[in-house]
Amino acid sequence: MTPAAAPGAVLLPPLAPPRPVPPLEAVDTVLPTGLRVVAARRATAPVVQLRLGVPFGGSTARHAAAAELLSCTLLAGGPGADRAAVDDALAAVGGSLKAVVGPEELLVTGQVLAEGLPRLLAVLADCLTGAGYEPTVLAAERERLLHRVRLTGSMPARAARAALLRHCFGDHPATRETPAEEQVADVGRDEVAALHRTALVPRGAVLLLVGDVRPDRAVAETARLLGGWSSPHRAVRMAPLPAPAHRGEPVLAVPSPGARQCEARLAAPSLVRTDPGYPALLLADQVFGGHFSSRLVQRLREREGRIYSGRSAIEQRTGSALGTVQFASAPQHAAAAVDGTLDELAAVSGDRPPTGAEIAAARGYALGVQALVRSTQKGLADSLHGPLLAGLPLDWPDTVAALVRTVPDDEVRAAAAAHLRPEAYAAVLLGPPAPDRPLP
Amino acid sequence: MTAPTAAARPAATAEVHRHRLANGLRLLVLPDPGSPAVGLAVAYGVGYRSESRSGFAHLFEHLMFQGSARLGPQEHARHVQANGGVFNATTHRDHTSYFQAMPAEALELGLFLEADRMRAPRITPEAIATQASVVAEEIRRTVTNRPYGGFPTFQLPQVLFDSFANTHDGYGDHASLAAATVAECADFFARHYAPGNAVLAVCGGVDPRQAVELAERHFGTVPARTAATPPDLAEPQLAVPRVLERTDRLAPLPAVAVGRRMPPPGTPGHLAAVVAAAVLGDGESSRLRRTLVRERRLATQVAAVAGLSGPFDSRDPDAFLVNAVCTPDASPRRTARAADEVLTDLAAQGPAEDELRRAVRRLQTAW
Repeated sequence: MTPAAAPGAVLLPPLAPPRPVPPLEAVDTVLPTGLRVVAARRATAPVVQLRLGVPFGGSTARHAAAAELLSCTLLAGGPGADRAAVDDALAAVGGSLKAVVGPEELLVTGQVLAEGLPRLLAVLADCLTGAGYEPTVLAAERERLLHRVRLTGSMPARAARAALLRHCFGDHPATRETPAEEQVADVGRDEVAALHRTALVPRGAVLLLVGDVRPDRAVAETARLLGGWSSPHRAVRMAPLPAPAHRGEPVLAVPSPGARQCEARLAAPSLVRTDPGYPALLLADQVFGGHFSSRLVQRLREREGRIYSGRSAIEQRTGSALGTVQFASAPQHAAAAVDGTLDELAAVSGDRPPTGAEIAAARGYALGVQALVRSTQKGLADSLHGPLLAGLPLDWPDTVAALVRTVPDDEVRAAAAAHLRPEAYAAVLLGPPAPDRPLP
Repeated sequence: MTAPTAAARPAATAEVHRHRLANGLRLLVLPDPGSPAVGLAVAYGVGYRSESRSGFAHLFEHLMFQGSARLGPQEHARHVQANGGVFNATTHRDHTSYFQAMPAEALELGLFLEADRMRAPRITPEAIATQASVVAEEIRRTVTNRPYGGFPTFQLPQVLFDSFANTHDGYGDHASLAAATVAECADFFARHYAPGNAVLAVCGGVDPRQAVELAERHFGTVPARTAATPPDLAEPQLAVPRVLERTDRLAPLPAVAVGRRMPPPGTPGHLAAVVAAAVLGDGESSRLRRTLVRERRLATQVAAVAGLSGPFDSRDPDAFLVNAVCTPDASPRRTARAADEVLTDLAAQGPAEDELRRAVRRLQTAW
């Protein structure tokens, strides 16, 4: 509204010298039970974050249902305890625990005031060694789970993701992010208890504590309180994903009667984080669609007004990786938005490779955001968890950061050309069947 | 399991430094010397209860990213991100907040960018058309194409209140927003975006004296001007209960929300209402969860919230909410009655001492 000097010639204020980041004070060890325990000090608040990840792969639809029932009943406590008593014991020390499960992993997330860490660990140990799966508790949780499964089915974003996974991977276990209602209804108490005995085991699992802790003491407390959680079994990883099917084929239309918006999802093979080419592809993906200033978002949102949010990402899965793109757009815009996405992929992998300025911006963003995330307790815990569960060393994020800092621009362009070609992608578009499309 | 210890260790309370610039801009600094990052936010005292066109304050928030006195469209986002930062903005009932988290060394850049748009955003008819379309996609994504989208904060105000300011939602509709003009934007900016109607907050790895010096350098030259007075929002209490029903095609089960006026911020009852919400709905052993979900099986999930947009978010009048998804064999009215009984019981007896302590402890780790 104010006619002002032409932009572009502005002298921006200089950056201050970067602050030195002190090394992470941490202990990384494996207990005799096979549980890897990592404790890292980040005393920004008198709180401790807990993450327990257990690889939880399975091969059947029944496994997915039993795993869900297990995860929503696990924290109801050991024999004799009930959920309210467990929750009261945690709340008294400002603590909380929750468990979720997916095709790859069972994850327990918790936090507690620092002084309450022993109690949080004791409660967790009770649940891991003595979860009772009382029939009445299980029945109530089953009922709530069935409601959640139905709700998930009515969420367009979740339905689109499920459609993409089915399209790309058929019946692979990775497609079972939500269990089927009939399986949830059918799995019995003994099956859940047996799954706990054979699959919810410490060998292959990682317990991570981040916060206002002395790492050596926190590890000693963990060894004392969780030492009784043991098993001859080893946690099972999900079978690796094959490359997506239907790559380079026309987008699959998935009808969703009554939908007011179309959900687009694309997937291509990508590089695992230990691949030497990963840092370059990470930057190429950022330039294409990995942040707000990327080509994808600038085109679809800021120039064309066709999306609110959208992005590309490299999803790390067990032993494989997927390059994904996702956004939602009004039915009358959706086909053009998908075409625009494919155009931008063709350009970034072809005649309009990432420029030096784009790569520099992507590098600055990737490194800065990583530093920001690691400055908080929750952020540090969440960013360490994935690499640790994949068996990587504690300093893995620093290793990747150093590579991202130095990877040459030419390698970034080569990564874009090799991995971001439109024909590498399979695509689905979930939305109203054509005659059902509402007016704008 | 041992008994609760007597008292939680008090969290280290950082000292808040305050400063006021000659043009009226208020500055708050909350230093955390060890942090490699800074957060900065500029909040303006204008929200969707200040607007006369539904959704205008939110559309205007989008337009504040479309260029400013010395920057072109999208340059704000590009500079923040290329320097390793993240940004966003949110439009609330009574304020609009623009914020960045950045590496500490980029603090001055962030202040420069915020000051530049406080001085003069650059709004064109094309930007209005594009962002109205983006907002339409945002509404589809978060409200119309999502089960329970906008529930209950879009619906409850329609029966809790009577005035346009209090009853309408912050999104509006596409046709109305697309008709907004550049002149309307200029007027809105002039009325509500004066430095005297804003608070600049800086936290993280920053020295307070340096924050004051940099704020003076970049914001000190933004001219002072008179801001519009805040809207009069007061309404009488409801004489009788009111009920509203809406159909949601995507919702697999009915949901019910009950709202009642809550004590205004700054009164003793306000914080008590925040803690009461935790006693009622926070955690497995909370009263509503225990009664409605587990014992009586009238709800699959239930929540209590002190404030239509959460606690500490807006001025009076605001509402205390109880919100539940009903089980298939429970009627919404029966579930609502059961929730009222739980509230009545708490009001009559008050919380038990250890129940209160648990709720407060949880709130301590929630922020």
